[in-house]
Amino acid sequence: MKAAGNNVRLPMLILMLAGLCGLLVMCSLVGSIGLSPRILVGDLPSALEWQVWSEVRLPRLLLAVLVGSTLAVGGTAMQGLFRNPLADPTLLGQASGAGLAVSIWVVLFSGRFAGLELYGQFFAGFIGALLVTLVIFRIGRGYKGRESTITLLLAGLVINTLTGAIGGVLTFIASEEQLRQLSLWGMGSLSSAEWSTLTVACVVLPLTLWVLARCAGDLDLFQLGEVSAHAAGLDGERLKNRVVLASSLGVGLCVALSGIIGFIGLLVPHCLRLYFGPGHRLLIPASMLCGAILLLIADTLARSLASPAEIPVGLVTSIIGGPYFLWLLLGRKVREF
Amino acid sequence: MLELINVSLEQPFALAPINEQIEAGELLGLIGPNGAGKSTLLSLISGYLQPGSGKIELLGRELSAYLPGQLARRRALVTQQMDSAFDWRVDEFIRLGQQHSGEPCPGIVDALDIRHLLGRGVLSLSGGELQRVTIARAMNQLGVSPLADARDDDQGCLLLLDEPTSALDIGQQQNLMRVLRTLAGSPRIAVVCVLHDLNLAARYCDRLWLLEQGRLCASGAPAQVLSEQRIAQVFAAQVHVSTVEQRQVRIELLA
Repeated sequence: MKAAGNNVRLPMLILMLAGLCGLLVMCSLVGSIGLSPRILVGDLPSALEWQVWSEVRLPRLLLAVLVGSTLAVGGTAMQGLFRNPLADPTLLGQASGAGLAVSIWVVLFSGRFAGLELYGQFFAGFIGALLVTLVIFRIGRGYKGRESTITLLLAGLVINTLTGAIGGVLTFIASEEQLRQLSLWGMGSLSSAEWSTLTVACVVLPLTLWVLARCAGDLDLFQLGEVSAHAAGLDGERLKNRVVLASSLGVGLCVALSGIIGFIGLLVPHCLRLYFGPGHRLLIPASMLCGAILLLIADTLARSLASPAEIPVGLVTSIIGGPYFLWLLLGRKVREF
Repeated sequence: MLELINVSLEQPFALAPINEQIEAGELLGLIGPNGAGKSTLLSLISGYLQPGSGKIELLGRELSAYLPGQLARRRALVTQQMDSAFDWRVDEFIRLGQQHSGEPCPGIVDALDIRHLLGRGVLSLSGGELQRVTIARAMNQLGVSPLADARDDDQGCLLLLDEPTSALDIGQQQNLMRVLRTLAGSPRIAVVCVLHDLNLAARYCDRLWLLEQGRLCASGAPAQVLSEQRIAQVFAAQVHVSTVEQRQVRIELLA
């Protein structure tokens, strides 16, 4: 598929924004308790319906939008920075690094810092994602083309396996309650969404999105290669620092809030690039919208398919994303890697 | 325009001290065997590598004193390899790093014979096509073409090219060298070009710098630099050098 021309790309962004708004309305009404659309026009429902809508659905939808956007934009920015279409927070181990750090916090430190539980978890997620990003960046340096892809994937595989193993060790020393908390959270779920947890997310995640969106022009230049990009006026070190810090903060916080939700950072930029082309000025806003849309749909499916029970949304995105990734590897697109 | 004052570099890229100048309005060829330090010298001149000692001044100001954006308006670089991970459309690719406002500089696309490639993706291009597109991008970054000068100031600029003819067919090689010759005809533009084809270097360059094992061993007009004895010594190649015109030489490989 050939990327569309500029004259049709901008209207598509507006269409996606309208689609997101429409989805938000629809998804707020769907779930184990179905709500009437009249709630949207101020026709007062029962106290229970109002509580479900305002205290459960709205924060959850908002979290889905924020997390979906951040994971997709994080993936887009990492792919731009690594100049590699396979650089996804899950595949590279950023998410599992954050996950391990959060698990360590929960098992070893939870309950020791009264009042700081949530922030400690956020901070642990950030540090875990940051450490993995720095390690991956160091490993990927100096490799080019196919060699770089293979090295990055191998590094990601090792990090994912290692964090999984250390996480496994943690389960031996975790209490029953911690185990239950970790296993539900680890599969990826937005069920913990509450207004109190959202306050941090509402500040930090838009901030990381803003920082990454501001890097769009520089990420375009970075595609020329480090030497040519430098000659074209790019301060490469500054760009790397900003993208690594912002994406680690964003991904780390997303993992702390909702566990590991895979493949959004891989799927979204890859699909959008086919239509919008590789320019980050359009790709990043499009990723924000598309990531939010995808996670909204996946989360609505997750809480509706087995209602009143709930499937972890991470399983839904993996079931959609896994086969797509395999198709990607098997298909002719693999030549582009 | 550009002055190298006692510039040297330590291992692993070792370059012996160089004191030379590049003037506006000249096409300078860097020649030498593989691993002689041509690309390293180009990286130094571009400001990507910092000299171990000495200093490099562009338009009377040390390179390290320029902000990246300021430097990008004064010099552009075409590296040996350009391997994009993503499929940029050629017309978008050419605009990357454009320092002047508005449309791409007129004349570049036709001069480099890439108009028919504009709607294609860079991943679908052949090596030679990609090389011409990459050169077009660098020229557009500076805002210069054989037809126009789109820059909004009157200071000079420097175009650096590392083996720009390596993937080009003979016709495109000739065309590119003519384009570079025309550019260097402007009193505000200097072009520095790493070349392996000594005949191209002799035919089109005003001056040559011959590098050998990190040392500038000869500098001057092609007829002065390209002697049979020196080529045998530096390249370990047996050639016959004949003078075809007053200043020009032709080099033939001997069997």
